[in-house]
Amino acid sequence: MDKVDVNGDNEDPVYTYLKSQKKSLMMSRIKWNFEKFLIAKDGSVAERYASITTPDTIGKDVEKLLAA
Amino acid sequence: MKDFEGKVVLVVNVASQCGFTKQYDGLEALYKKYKDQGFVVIGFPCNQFGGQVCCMCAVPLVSCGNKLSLRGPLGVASAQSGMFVIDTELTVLSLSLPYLSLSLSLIPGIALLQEPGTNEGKDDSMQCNRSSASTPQSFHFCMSLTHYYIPFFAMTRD
Repeated sequence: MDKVDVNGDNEDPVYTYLKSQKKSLMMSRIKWNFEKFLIAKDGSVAERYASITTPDTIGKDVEKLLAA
Repeated sequence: MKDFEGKVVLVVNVASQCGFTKQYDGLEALYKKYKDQGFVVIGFPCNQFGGQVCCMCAVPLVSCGNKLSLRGPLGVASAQSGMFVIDTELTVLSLSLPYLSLSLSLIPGIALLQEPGTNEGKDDSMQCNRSSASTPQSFHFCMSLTHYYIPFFAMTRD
């Protein structure tokens, strides 16, 4: 597995799904590297974070989902 | 994807030359903290933003791959030469010309901030430093420019 497209005609289906579930800045397309999607145990997209969101701030959401 | 059933998954589109690579440390910490409870981080290497997946920094990604269940090592990128990558960056520069003049005034500070040598202890930047040792400094400055400015344009552009 090598590089994938996250926007456009050749985008990976995983990203098609993720983007359809959560938008960012009212747009679905991925804006830049290091955008993050948090997926719950049931496969639903719980959160979408911008590139500038640092991983440590995501911890509390992870905990919430793990406990669910 | 079966491997991830019933798990909490964080999906990240990663690149090796992006200013946000500092987040690898955070992602790894996050993964280590919660992996026993069923948490996984998946990185999708993506080259769509500034051509920032390149051979120069592939090593940290691959090593992250072991730790973070990255979807795949960036082996393909190793076929690229350093100059090719730089060429890609310059293409990106020309594409973002409307923003270039704005960025130019800010280059010196950013280039200074992001000189690999000042980032001791960071694996990825050290790799960059070593691999691009023969790269003219000006190229490095250009690359710094694209890496640290295009993200903000990209975020505000559309």
